[in-house]
Formats: sequence, C-alpha cells, structure tokens
Amino acid sequence: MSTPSSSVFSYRVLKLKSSDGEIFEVKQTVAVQSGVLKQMMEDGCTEGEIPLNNVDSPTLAKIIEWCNKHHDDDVEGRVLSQEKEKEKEKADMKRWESEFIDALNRDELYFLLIGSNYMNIKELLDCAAQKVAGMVKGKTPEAIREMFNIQSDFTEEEEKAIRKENQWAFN
Amino acid sequence: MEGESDLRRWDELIPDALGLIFRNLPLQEVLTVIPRVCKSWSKAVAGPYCWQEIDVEEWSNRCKPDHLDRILQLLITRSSGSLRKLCVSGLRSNMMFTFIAENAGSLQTLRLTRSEISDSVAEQIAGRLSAITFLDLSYCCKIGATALEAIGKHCKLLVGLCRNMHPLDTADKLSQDDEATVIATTMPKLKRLEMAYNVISTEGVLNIISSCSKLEFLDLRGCWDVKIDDKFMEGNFPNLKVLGPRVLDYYEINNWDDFSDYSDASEDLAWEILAGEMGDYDDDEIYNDGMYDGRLDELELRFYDGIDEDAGIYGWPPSP
Repeated sequence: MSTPSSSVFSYRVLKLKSSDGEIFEVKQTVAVQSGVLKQMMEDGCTEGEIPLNNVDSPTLAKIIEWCNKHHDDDVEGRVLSQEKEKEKEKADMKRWESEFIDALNRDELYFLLIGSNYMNIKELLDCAAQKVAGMVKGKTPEAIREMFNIQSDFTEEEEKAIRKENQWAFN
Repeated sequence: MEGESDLRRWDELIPDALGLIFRNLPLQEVLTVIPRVCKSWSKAVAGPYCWQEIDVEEWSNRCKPDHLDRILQLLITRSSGSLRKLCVSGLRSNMMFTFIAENAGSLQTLRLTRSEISDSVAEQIAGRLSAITFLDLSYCCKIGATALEAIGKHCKLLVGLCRNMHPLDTADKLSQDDEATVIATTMPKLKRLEMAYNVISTEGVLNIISSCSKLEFLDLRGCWDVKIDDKFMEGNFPNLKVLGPRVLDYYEINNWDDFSDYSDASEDLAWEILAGEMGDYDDDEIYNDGMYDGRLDELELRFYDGIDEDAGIYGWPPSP
C-alpha cells in the first residue's frame, strides 16, 4: 500500500544531504527539532533527499548528535511526582550541552551557528550564541577583532564618534 | 586552535545570529564595545535583531532616571515593533509607560518591578498590552485592584502574574483582598501567581484558587493571615503547588528585626537600606527545612529576581 505523500509524518526516516553531498538518515521524531524540517514534514515534502546547502557534513553530524541527545527530552508532559527526576535530567543535560559546545573549535562553532540558524533549531542556536557571547564578554574591541580575525573597517573619526555615542549612559 | 582559517567571516555573520549572541552580553558592552568592532557588528546593534528582548533590569537599578528613559526609548525604537520581552526596574515617568504600551504589539513578557505606575496609567495602557502572557508588577506600590482589573480585562492571554510586595510597603495596608477578587474574576487562565507579602485573607486565596483552575504555582510567602489546610489542598487542588505562607525566609532569618527599626523612617531611607541588603543576597544561607526541595533553589532566586528565561517550563510559551 502506498503512503500518500501529503500525510503528516508519513516517512519514518528523513534523508538529509549535506552541502558536500553526504547523506544522513535521521528519524522524524528527531528531525522535528528543526523548525525547517518540521515544516517540510507538515507540508509532506520530505520524500527523497533533502538538500541542506548551507550545512557541511561535519556540521550536520554535530547537529544530528545534538538532536539525537535532545530527542525525547521534552519533559513537559510528565507528572509532578517525577519532578525530582526531571531536575536531575535537566542538570545532566546542561552538563552534556556545555561539554558539547566547549569541545568545538572556533570554526566549528561558526558553522554550527550558521547551520542551526538555517535549520532553525532554537535550543542549539541559543547554546552556540551563549558560547560566543562568553568568548566576547569583557574584551576590548581590539581583542575581539583579533580573536575572530576581523579587520576594522572604521576610519579613526568614525571610531571616535561611535566611542562617544552611548558612553554617557554609563558614566 | 586547530583548523582556524580566514574563511570564517565572523564580521559577516547574519544579523539575527549576531543579535542572538549580543543578547547575552551586559548592556554596556553591547552599546559601547560591540559597535566598535566593525561596521557590520555596529549595524547589527543598531538594528532590531538585538532588541527583540530588552532586559535592562540590572542596569536600571543603578542608573540615573533620565538616562533610563533615554536608553529605553533608544532601544525600544530600535526593536521596531518586534519587542517580545521587556524587563526594567524603577521606571517612573508616565510618558515611558505610554511609550512602552505604544510599542507593545508583540510584547509577551513585561516586567516593570518597582515602577511608579499608577492605577490611572495602568487603565490607560492596559488595552495595548493584549499580547502579554507574563506580567511582573512586584513592588509597584501605586497600583491596586483598579490596575489589576484593567489588566485582567484586556490581557486575555495572561498566564503568569507576579505581584510580590515588600513587607514594609504593605505594612499600612488593611487588606488587598480587593486585588485577590479581581485576580479571581478577570484572570482565569493564570498558571503561576506570586503574591508574597500581600495582605490577603484565606477567603481571598480560596477565591483565587477556585476561580483560576489552571493554577500550578502560588507563592504566598509572608501572607500571614492565610491558613492553608494541606489535606484540603491535596484533595481539592492536587496540581497546585503552594509556597508559604510560613516559609523561613531571608527577612525572618537575618533582617526582619533590623528592618522593623526603620519602619518609621522615610520610605526612601528604608528602601535604600533594603536595596543594599538585597545586593548581598546569597542563596546559600536560606531554607534548609527540606520541605520543598524540588524546585526550591530556583524559586528562592525568583522571589527576588522574578521569572526569567526559564519561564517556558511553567507553561507560558517561550519566545519563538
């Protein structure tokens, strides 16, 4: 019997194709964490390979690792008596998340930001953004430029003007 | 670091990703350091992506009032209608409450703690706050049942309300049962309600919990007149978690006596002393009674800090 392609969640496994042509098979229940893939599933257009042109294979592997770990961790529905367990699970997950993010080098972090933004995976995106913020926090503009290999494109006057712009609020 | 290369153009990262990053930084750094890194980062800070969520609560506690108004206007204008969350403390001018309301089309979470918003201003602006799901009006001493009623009538999506008070501010109040009544009659969808140190009766509380059938958490710490029968609660409201009224608390352990000495002094003086004390607040030194061990740590902080980014777990929708 053929499954109508329009029905919601009719395929159990999605085939994701990274920008460098590698195929990753992902369970629908896992893929649903991506806003983009969820929408595609609801629209019934997940047949065949789904090209993810902005995500290379190492990044996609990382993203899928994250999603696999977070799959089924939606604890919303459980009853209050399990609250203690929930707390512990939450703490364990937080630890796993920070180890996951801390293990990435700057390039990997960059591509993870792009990839999770592209695939609309909010929790991962937030986690990566927090990590970058932690790297930026407390640093001078010069140190930030150096860390991320950014060239200043301001003239001296421009930088002076910006420096003055909002300083009044913190004096 | 391994694998670093020049290909990663951090300066060309899309503005919404940059906005997400900068949102995690202190206000001062976002406004005075980030814009100097490069033009694209400067542009990201000037645009809406950085300011869908504006939390200046920490800074607003120590800045000059006119600076607070100016910065808020600047940031809210930058959010260009996409403001989803706003947290600010100690706001005074009526003009600013109106300004916030005018830009509240997408606003879901609003915390106006310690503000001087009045009943009449609240009545005027409530109609524009209809998208709000969580509201914190703790320590706002100039409002009462009138304001809450206007909010209840207009904010039909409201699932979280904080109306914690400071004991000094409610000491001269005879009763806040009128507030309890309007909460019960106009806010039936509440899942979370905090009303620590309110002068409220047992009847007032029963009125609320029987009307707000979705209520999951109720903070009654310091509501000394309320008598809660645990068995009755378990039997009739098994899904409701009540904190207080008698929970050993920061005030009781350390400073209640100190504070009472100042109860005749001017409000401002007492308030400054309290503000200083609260700065030293340390969550290690309280509550060892083990009664509420589950969520307790979290709640203790929230008593002072209100609800923050974890709000999602209590049922109001996380920011999209």
